[in-house]
Amino acid sequence: MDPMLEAFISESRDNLETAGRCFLELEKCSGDEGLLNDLFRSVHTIKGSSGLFDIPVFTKVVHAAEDVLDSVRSGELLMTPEHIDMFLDTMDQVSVWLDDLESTGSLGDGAEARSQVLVQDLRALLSAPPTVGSDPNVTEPEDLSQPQDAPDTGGRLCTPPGWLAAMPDKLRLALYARTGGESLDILAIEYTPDSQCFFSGEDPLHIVRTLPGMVWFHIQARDSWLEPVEMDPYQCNLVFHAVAAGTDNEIRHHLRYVNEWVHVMLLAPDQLVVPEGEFGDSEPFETFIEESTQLIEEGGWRRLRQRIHPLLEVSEPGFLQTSVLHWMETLLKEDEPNQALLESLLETLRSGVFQWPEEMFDPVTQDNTPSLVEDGTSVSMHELDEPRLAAVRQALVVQRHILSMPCSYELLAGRIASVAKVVKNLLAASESHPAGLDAAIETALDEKSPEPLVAFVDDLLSAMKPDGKKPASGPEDKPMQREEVRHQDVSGQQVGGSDGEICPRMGAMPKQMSTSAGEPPARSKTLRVDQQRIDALMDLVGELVVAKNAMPFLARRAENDFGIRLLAKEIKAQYAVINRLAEELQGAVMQIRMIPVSSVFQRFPRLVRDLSRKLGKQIRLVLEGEETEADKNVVENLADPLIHLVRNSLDHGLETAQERESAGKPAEGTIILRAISHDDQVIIEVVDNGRGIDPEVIKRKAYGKGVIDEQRLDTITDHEALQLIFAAGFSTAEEVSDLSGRGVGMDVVRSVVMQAGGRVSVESKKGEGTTIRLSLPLSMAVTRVMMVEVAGQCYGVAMENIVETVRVPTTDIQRIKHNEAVVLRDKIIPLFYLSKLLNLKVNTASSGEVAILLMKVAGQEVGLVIDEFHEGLDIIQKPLEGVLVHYPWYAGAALLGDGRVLLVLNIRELLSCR
Amino acid sequence: MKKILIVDDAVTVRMYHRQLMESLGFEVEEAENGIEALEKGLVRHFDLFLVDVNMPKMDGYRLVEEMRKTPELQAIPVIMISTEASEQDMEKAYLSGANLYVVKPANVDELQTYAALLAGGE
Repeated sequence: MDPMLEAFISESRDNLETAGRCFLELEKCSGDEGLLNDLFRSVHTIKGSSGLFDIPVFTKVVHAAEDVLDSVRSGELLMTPEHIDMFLDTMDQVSVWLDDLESTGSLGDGAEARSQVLVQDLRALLSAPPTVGSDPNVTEPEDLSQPQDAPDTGGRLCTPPGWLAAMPDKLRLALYARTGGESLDILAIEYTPDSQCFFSGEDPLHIVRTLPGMVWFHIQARDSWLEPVEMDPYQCNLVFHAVAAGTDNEIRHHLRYVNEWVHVMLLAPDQLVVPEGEFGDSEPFETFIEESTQLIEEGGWRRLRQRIHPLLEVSEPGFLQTSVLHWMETLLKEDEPNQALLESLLETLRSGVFQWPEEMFDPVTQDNTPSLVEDGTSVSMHELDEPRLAAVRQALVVQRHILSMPCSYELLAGRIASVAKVVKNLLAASESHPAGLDAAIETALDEKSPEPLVAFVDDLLSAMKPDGKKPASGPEDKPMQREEVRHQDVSGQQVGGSDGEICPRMGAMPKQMSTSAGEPPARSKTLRVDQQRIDALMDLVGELVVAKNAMPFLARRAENDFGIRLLAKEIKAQYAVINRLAEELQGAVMQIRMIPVSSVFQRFPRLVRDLSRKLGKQIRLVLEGEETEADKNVVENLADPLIHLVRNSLDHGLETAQERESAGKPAEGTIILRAISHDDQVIIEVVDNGRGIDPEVIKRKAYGKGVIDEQRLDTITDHEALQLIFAAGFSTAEEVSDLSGRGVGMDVVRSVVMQAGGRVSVESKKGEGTTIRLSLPLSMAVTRVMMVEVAGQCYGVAMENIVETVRVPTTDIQRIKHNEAVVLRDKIIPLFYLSKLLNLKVNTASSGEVAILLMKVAGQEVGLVIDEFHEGLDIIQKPLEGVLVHYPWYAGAALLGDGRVLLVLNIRELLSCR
Repeated sequence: MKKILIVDDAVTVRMYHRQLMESLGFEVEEAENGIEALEKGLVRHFDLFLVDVNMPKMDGYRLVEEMRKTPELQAIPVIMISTEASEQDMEKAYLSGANLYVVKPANVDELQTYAALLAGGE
């Protein structure tokens, strides 16, 4: 993959994570400015970087989100949980797109449609700023999806909302006509009722219908409708758009109770002008267009009207052209028709696309910076063959502008110094060395004013005017061959500004720049490394660990086979050193792979929030020990079981607020997600203070489902009964809910945890709550096994399953029905022969004693009869591949120090298929 | 060789600008935020700063202001690069002391031309 795209994906994922976290925290403390800034910046960065790739669909969505956040930041928009829901959805989509980009290099199918929906929804949150001339960033032309309802105004000032185009042409025309006679405020109202509004007695439809001076309204779904089964009819999913003609005060008074949910925007009558319809055959209009262009320029309004009238007679309704003509006719009824608007409409006749005239919404550039804009255009027009020179000019114009801006005393010296430097560089680059620059700088210094420099730059600029072509004082003209530089293109205004007050004084200017070369500063502190590289390193370390295990063999051979004891001793000494190094290296590499569990915990605030809203329960999530670290694989393996457990607690464990209150508990339930590091294990607990589990119910269920037999039903302790929830085929939920049901139970959780080499247990008190504890090894990379021998073969058995090793006299073995058992410390331990389980030759040579590996398998103690115990050792367990995959009773294989392969047994599997 | 400091919090953008600048034959260093940029600028001379606006810790405006107040850095040309195309943002950049304002994602030729010009040659 393109390394830049790769960097973008990984960077954006980090930013999404930050954004997600900020959203959730914002929900708790909505006014936090620091949080908002972090949030804005992370979204902003994603947007900015995405612009470097050809994924406009993606950029649009993030841009829309950024705009909304910007208005939240500036206090124009209040962030509600509904907004956050939507933002989170958006972030989810962005995350999906990132995955798509990573795997396929492009956004998935339907990205465009999805993007449009999201952008629309986000923009709907914004609606329009309340008054003309407020925040300029709220709407930008590139993000509005359809040119028709999104006039390209440059978005500088109050842009009419896109939905206005949905208002029928006729009504708009009529409304426009009314504004001629009366003094009316035209107000565009966007009303997005709180989704809970029905519960507070709000009647959105009534409110809209009774708007004073209501002209038109329409209703839309905010989000796409859910399936009828999932839909909550009590949630308001509507957004109302209305246009009213009355007085601003009157309308705001009417809406005072729903103020929070309403955006009211004052429209200028001209903003009603949006021609609509299908672009028909333009041929009949060609003569008209030609004539009218002339007439508009001359201001021949009456004659223009005369031209329009007959055309309208023959035009069919429903076409864009017809609508344009209607609008032109309406506009011409004014005493002084809006010329620019008429020109725009005429242009629509030509091209079929309506664009608002630039100046209609942008009086700023019009008034303040005519010279700059003019200059810029004239340069690029006249000197495209010398783009470089044009750029020099452009840059000089900017420097001149900067010098004329107001300035604080402390910044002035720097400003003059930097501008002087830039002017010098510019001139050097264009290979002209006009006399007087140094003098101008010096004079500026002496007079403590930017004036001399301003004069110098002005001279330079006038000398460079298109007719002058080059700096007057420059040497021979050397056109610089470079690619064309485009000005004022998509990237927006290049330069510009307005004349400001000129600062009268300046500070001292530095004589020269410091060029002190010191130590290069330290590079960034973190490193991003592809996981595969770490895995490769881990593999190598694993091989080293195994290779080092060969040395004790070597020492033994030196002593036993070659009889050189001294050498054996030296090898052993050397082994100790290499062993230590290998262990430290292994530790170091494992440390690299360690990540905090927070990377998994992070997703829970969102999950709990979403689910508790869905379930209508009040639930607080507490995260503890997030900084606890474990191997990346272990942490990643944790995610699924934890989600399952938390969902279980939310769904079955915690009660609704009413239930809790009637049980005398606080209404708000709590789930604690806790990570503790304990020896070389990481323990994760999911604690809830819900209704707890009733062991009696479990017992009955387990018996009913045949998980335990009658005898066990009588003897089982409460604690043991609770553990039964992990048994296969056991599910306590009376009904399968869509949260935690789905037919998989706690047994799946257990098997995942077991696969990661961990254990799971449950404690619960009826009415007080439940704690589920997962214990996982800190690292899965190295497994400690015990070597056991049976029928002359060596096998590995994971150490964590082994309780103890015992030797018992054969006479102690008792037969119970068909099974053998032994009594150890008053406990009956069933015995299994490993040789029989593996279909190997049974060792008949009796030594009067049997070696028993006492193990805990699936919560039960069993004895495994083997021929001989050997040492315990660290191995790097590799999964079996190829045909061996079909032998589940082998957990994997590992290489021994002497080059032999050790098969590691999966005792649980072995026993289950006995 | 001319030296350029690219100041941006987004890795991707830094990478992109680095490519553009290195292809012009500039030597490039990077900084993640204003504070880092000031630190780097004080130990080594740069011919040009390419500065992003929105950054954590110290944003572009503050960085340029600090530069203009610092004798060692005050004469270094600064091109400010931002996603905002509005007049106000541009004015704010010039007020804080930037010498040129370019809207991002910038036109490649444009950015290269201006960088070369402001740094004083290639």
